[in-house]
Amino acid sequence: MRLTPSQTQLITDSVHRYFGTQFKIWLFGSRTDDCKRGGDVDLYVEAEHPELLDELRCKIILEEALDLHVDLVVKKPGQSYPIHAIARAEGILL
Amino acid sequence: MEGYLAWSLVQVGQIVPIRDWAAITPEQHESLAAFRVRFSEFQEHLDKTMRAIAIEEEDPEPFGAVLAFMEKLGILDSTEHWKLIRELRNSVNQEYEENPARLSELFRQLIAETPTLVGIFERIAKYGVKAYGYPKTI
Repeated sequence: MRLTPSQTQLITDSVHRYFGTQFKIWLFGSRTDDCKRGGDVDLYVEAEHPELLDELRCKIILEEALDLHVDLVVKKPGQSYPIHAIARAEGILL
Repeated sequence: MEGYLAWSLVQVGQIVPIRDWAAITPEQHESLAAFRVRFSEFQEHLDKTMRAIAIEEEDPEPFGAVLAFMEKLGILDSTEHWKLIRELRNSVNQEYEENPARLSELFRQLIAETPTLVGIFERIAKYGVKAYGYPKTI
Protein backbone atom coordinates (compact mmCIF):
# COMPACT_ATOMS: atom_id res chain seq x y z
CA MET A 1 0.00 0.00 0.00
CA ARG A 2 1.10 3.55 -0.60
CA LEU A 3 0.95 5.02 2.90
CA THR A 4 3.99 5.60 5.09
CA PRO A 5 4.02 4.28 8.68
CA SER A 6 3.69 7.85 9.97
CA GLN A 7 0.70 8.51 7.70
CA THR A 8 -0.90 5.29 8.91
CA GLN A 9 -0.29 6.29 12.51
CA LEU A 10 -1.77 9.70 11.89
CA ILE A 11 -4.90 8.13 10.40
CA THR A 12 -5.26 5.74 13.33
CA ASP A 13 -4.79 8.53 15.88
CA SER A 14 -7.34 10.77 14.15
CA VAL A 15 -9.96 8.03 13.90
CA HIS A 16 -9.35 7.17 17.56
CA ARG A 17 -9.82 10.83 18.50
CA TYR A 18 -13.21 11.11 16.81
CA PHE A 19 -14.67 7.62 17.01
CA GLY A 20 -13.43 6.29 20.35
CA THR A 21 -11.57 3.07 21.03
CA GLN A 22 -13.72 0.55 19.16
CA PHE A 23 -12.98 0.93 15.46
CA LYS A 24 -11.43 -0.71 12.44
CA ILE A 25 -9.93 1.11 9.47
CA TRP A 26 -9.38 -0.17 5.96
CA LEU A 27 -7.47 1.58 3.22
CA PHE A 28 -9.09 0.87 -0.12
CA GLY A 29 -9.00 2.29 -3.63
CA SER A 30 -5.95 3.25 -5.65
CA ARG A 31 -3.61 3.67 -2.68
CA THR A 32 -3.65 -0.06 -2.04
CA ASP A 33 -1.91 -0.50 -5.40
CA ASP A 34 1.87 -0.03 -5.23
CA CYS A 35 2.07 0.29 -8.99
CA LYS A 36 -0.10 3.39 -9.17
CA ARG A 37 0.85 6.96 -8.36
CA GLY A 38 -0.94 9.78 -6.55
CA GLY A 39 -4.66 9.50 -5.88
CA ASP A 40 -7.02 10.13 -2.99
CA VAL A 41 -6.77 8.35 0.32
CA ASP A 42 -9.89 6.19 0.49
CA LEU A 43 -10.64 5.09 4.02
CA TYR A 44 -13.40 2.85 5.31
CA VAL A 45 -14.13 2.92 9.03
CA GLU A 46 -16.37 0.75 11.15
CA ALA A 47 -17.07 2.32 14.54
CA GLU A 48 -19.47 1.82 17.42
CA HIS A 49 -21.22 5.20 17.57
CA PRO A 50 -20.08 7.37 14.68
CA GLU A 51 -21.65 10.82 14.55
CA LEU A 52 -21.93 12.77 11.30
CA LEU A 53 -20.16 15.88 12.57
CA ASP A 54 -17.30 13.84 14.04
CA GLU A 55 -16.93 12.13 10.69
CA LEU A 56 -16.70 15.49 8.91
CA ARG A 57 -14.24 16.82 11.51
CA CYS A 58 -12.10 13.71 11.12
CA LYS A 59 -12.02 14.15 7.36
CA ILE A 60 -10.99 17.82 7.69
CA ILE A 61 -8.19 16.96 10.14
CA LEU A 62 -6.91 14.11 7.96
CA GLU A 63 -6.88 16.19 4.78
CA GLU A 64 -5.00 18.97 6.52
CA ALA A 65 -2.50 16.65 8.17
CA LEU A 66 -1.88 14.44 5.12
CA ASP A 67 -2.19 17.28 2.62
CA LEU A 68 -4.14 14.87 0.43
CA HIS A 69 -7.76 14.51 -0.55
CA VAL A 70 -9.42 11.97 1.75
CA ASP A 71 -12.60 10.03 1.08
CA LEU A 72 -13.88 8.78 4.39
CA VAL A 73 -16.63 6.17 4.39
CA VAL A 74 -17.97 5.43 7.87
CA LYS A 75 -20.28 2.52 8.53
CA LYS A 76 -22.81 2.83 11.29
CA PRO A 77 -23.86 -0.38 13.08
CA GLY A 78 -26.81 -1.90 11.24
CA GLN A 79 -26.11 -0.14 7.98
CA SER A 80 -25.01 -2.02 4.91
CA TYR A 81 -24.22 -0.53 1.54
CA PRO A 82 -22.31 -2.01 -1.40
CA ILE A 83 -19.40 0.38 -0.81
CA HIS A 84 -18.93 -1.14 2.65
CA ALA A 85 -18.60 -4.66 1.25
CA ILE A 86 -16.26 -3.50 -1.53
CA ALA A 87 -14.02 -1.61 0.90
CA ARG A 88 -13.80 -4.61 3.25
CA ALA A 89 -13.19 -7.09 0.45
CA GLU A 90 -10.62 -5.09 -1.47
CA GLY A 91 -9.15 -2.95 1.30
CA ILE A 92 -6.17 -3.36 3.59
CA LEU A 93 -6.86 -3.36 7.32
CA LEU A 94 -4.70 -0.71 8.96
CA MET B 1 -29.96 35.18 -2.27
CA GLU B 2 -30.35 35.49 1.50
CA GLY B 3 -34.10 35.88 1.03
CA TYR B 4 -34.33 32.77 -1.16
CA LEU B 5 -32.35 30.77 1.42
CA ALA B 6 -34.62 32.02 4.21
CA TRP B 7 -37.66 30.95 2.16
CA SER B 8 -36.18 27.50 1.52
CA LEU B 9 -35.30 27.13 5.19
CA VAL B 10 -38.96 27.58 6.12
CA GLN B 11 -40.01 25.03 3.47
CA VAL B 12 -37.58 22.31 4.54
CA GLY B 13 -38.30 22.99 8.21
CA GLN B 14 -41.68 21.42 7.53
CA ILE B 15 -40.10 18.31 5.94
CA VAL B 16 -37.00 17.54 8.05
CA PRO B 17 -36.38 15.28 9.93
CA ILE B 18 -37.13 12.79 7.21
CA ARG B 19 -37.99 9.32 8.43
CA ASP B 20 -39.34 7.89 5.23
CA TRP B 21 -37.85 9.10 1.97
CA ALA B 22 -40.42 7.08 0.03
CA ALA B 23 -43.17 9.29 1.44
CA ILE B 24 -41.54 12.52 0.24
CA THR B 25 -43.62 14.12 -2.51
CA PRO B 26 -42.10 15.52 -5.72
CA GLU B 27 -42.84 19.03 -4.41
CA GLN B 28 -40.99 18.29 -1.17
CA HIS B 29 -38.04 16.88 -3.14
CA GLU B 30 -38.02 20.14 -5.05
CA SER B 31 -37.92 22.11 -1.78
CA LEU B 32 -35.03 19.97 -0.50
CA ALA B 33 -33.13 20.38 -3.75
CA ALA B 34 -33.67 24.14 -3.73
CA PHE B 35 -32.49 24.39 -0.12
CA ARG B 36 -29.39 22.29 -0.81
CA VAL B 37 -28.45 24.45 -3.79
CA ARG B 38 -29.22 27.75 -2.04
CA PHE B 39 -27.26 26.79 1.09
CA SER B 40 -24.31 25.69 -1.08
CA GLU B 41 -24.34 28.81 -3.23
CA PHE B 42 -24.67 31.08 -0.22
CA GLN B 43 -21.74 29.36 1.50
CA GLU B 44 -19.68 29.58 -1.69
CA HIS B 45 -20.43 33.29 -2.10
CA LEU B 46 -19.37 33.93 1.48
CA ASP B 47 -16.15 31.97 0.83
CA LYS B 48 -15.42 34.17 -2.19
CA THR B 49 -16.34 37.37 -0.41
CA MET B 50 -14.06 36.55 2.51
CA ARG B 51 -11.24 35.78 0.07
CA ALA B 52 -11.83 39.11 -1.69
CA ILE B 53 -11.71 41.01 1.59
CA ALA B 54 -8.56 39.17 2.68
CA ILE B 55 -6.82 39.83 -0.66
CA GLU B 56 -7.80 43.49 -0.48
CA GLU B 57 -6.40 43.80 3.03
CA GLU B 58 -3.58 41.27 3.37
CA ASP B 59 -3.02 39.17 0.22
CA PRO B 60 -2.93 35.85 2.11
CA GLU B 61 -2.20 32.38 0.74
CA PRO B 62 -3.43 29.67 1.20
CA PHE B 63 -7.12 29.77 2.10
CA GLY B 64 -6.42 28.87 5.72
CA ALA B 65 -4.86 32.32 6.01
CA VAL B 66 -8.08 33.86 4.65
CA LEU B 67 -10.08 32.11 7.34
CA ALA B 68 -7.61 33.12 10.04
CA PHE B 69 -7.89 36.71 8.86
CA MET B 70 -11.70 36.50 8.95
CA GLU B 71 -11.46 35.25 12.51
CA LYS B 72 -9.22 38.19 13.33
CA LEU B 73 -11.78 40.59 11.82
CA GLY B 74 -14.50 38.98 13.93
CA ILE B 75 -16.40 37.79 10.84
CA LEU B 76 -15.88 34.14 11.79
CA ASP B 77 -16.15 32.91 15.34
CA SER B 78 -14.04 29.90 14.47
CA THR B 79 -12.20 28.79 11.34
CA GLU B 80 -12.88 25.19 12.36
CA HIS B 81 -16.61 25.82 12.37
CA TRP B 82 -16.40 27.33 8.88
CA LYS B 83 -14.47 24.30 7.60
CA LEU B 84 -17.17 22.07 9.06
CA ILE B 85 -19.90 24.02 7.25
CA ARG B 86 -17.93 23.75 4.00
CA GLU B 87 -17.55 20.01 4.53
CA LEU B 88 -21.30 19.74 5.14
CA ARG B 89 -21.91 21.52 1.84
CA ASN B 90 -19.51 19.20 0.03
CA SER B 91 -21.07 16.11 1.58
CA VAL B 92 -24.67 16.96 0.80
CA ASN B 93 -23.75 17.64 -2.80
CA GLN B 94 -21.67 14.49 -3.25
CA GLU B 95 -24.03 12.02 -1.68
CA TYR B 96 -27.42 13.21 -2.74
CA GLU B 97 -29.96 10.36 -2.51
CA GLU B 98 -27.31 7.68 -1.90
CA ASN B 99 -27.77 6.99 1.80
CA PRO B 100 -31.21 8.08 3.05
CA ALA B 101 -30.41 8.15 6.79
CA ARG B 102 -27.20 10.07 6.25
CA LEU B 103 -28.87 12.45 3.83
CA SER B 104 -31.59 13.17 6.36
CA GLU B 105 -28.95 13.94 8.99
CA LEU B 106 -27.08 16.16 6.53
CA PHE B 107 -30.24 18.18 5.88
CA ARG B 108 -30.84 18.47 9.62
CA GLN B 109 -27.33 19.87 10.03
CA LEU B 110 -27.73 22.22 7.06
CA ILE B 111 -30.85 23.65 8.67
CA ALA B 112 -29.02 24.03 11.98
CA GLU B 113 -26.13 25.87 10.29
CA THR B 114 -28.20 28.23 8.15
CA PRO B 115 -28.49 30.88 10.90
CA THR B 116 -24.68 30.73 11.22
CA LEU B 117 -24.30 31.43 7.49
CA VAL B 118 -26.73 34.32 7.66
CA GLY B 119 -24.92 35.68 10.73
CA ILE B 120 -21.58 35.57 8.89
CA PHE B 121 -23.19 37.30 5.93
CA GLU B 122 -24.46 40.06 8.23
CA ARG B 123 -20.95 40.55 9.66
CA ILE B 124 -19.36 40.62 6.20
CA ALA B 125 -21.98 43.13 5.04
CA LYS B 126 -21.32 45.28 8.09
CA TYR B 127 -17.57 45.10 7.45
CA GLY B 128 -18.12 45.97 3.77
CA VAL B 129 -20.13 49.04 4.65
CA LYS B 130 -17.58 50.12 7.25
CA ALA B 131 -14.43 49.41 5.22
CA TYR B 132 -15.53 50.13 1.65
CA GLY B 133 -18.95 51.76 1.83
CA TYR B 134 -20.54 48.79 0.01
CA PRO B 135 -24.32 48.38 0.14
CA LYS B 136 -25.61 45.18 1.75
CA THR B 137 -26.48 42.88 -1.17
CA ILE B 138 -25.71 39.27 -2.08
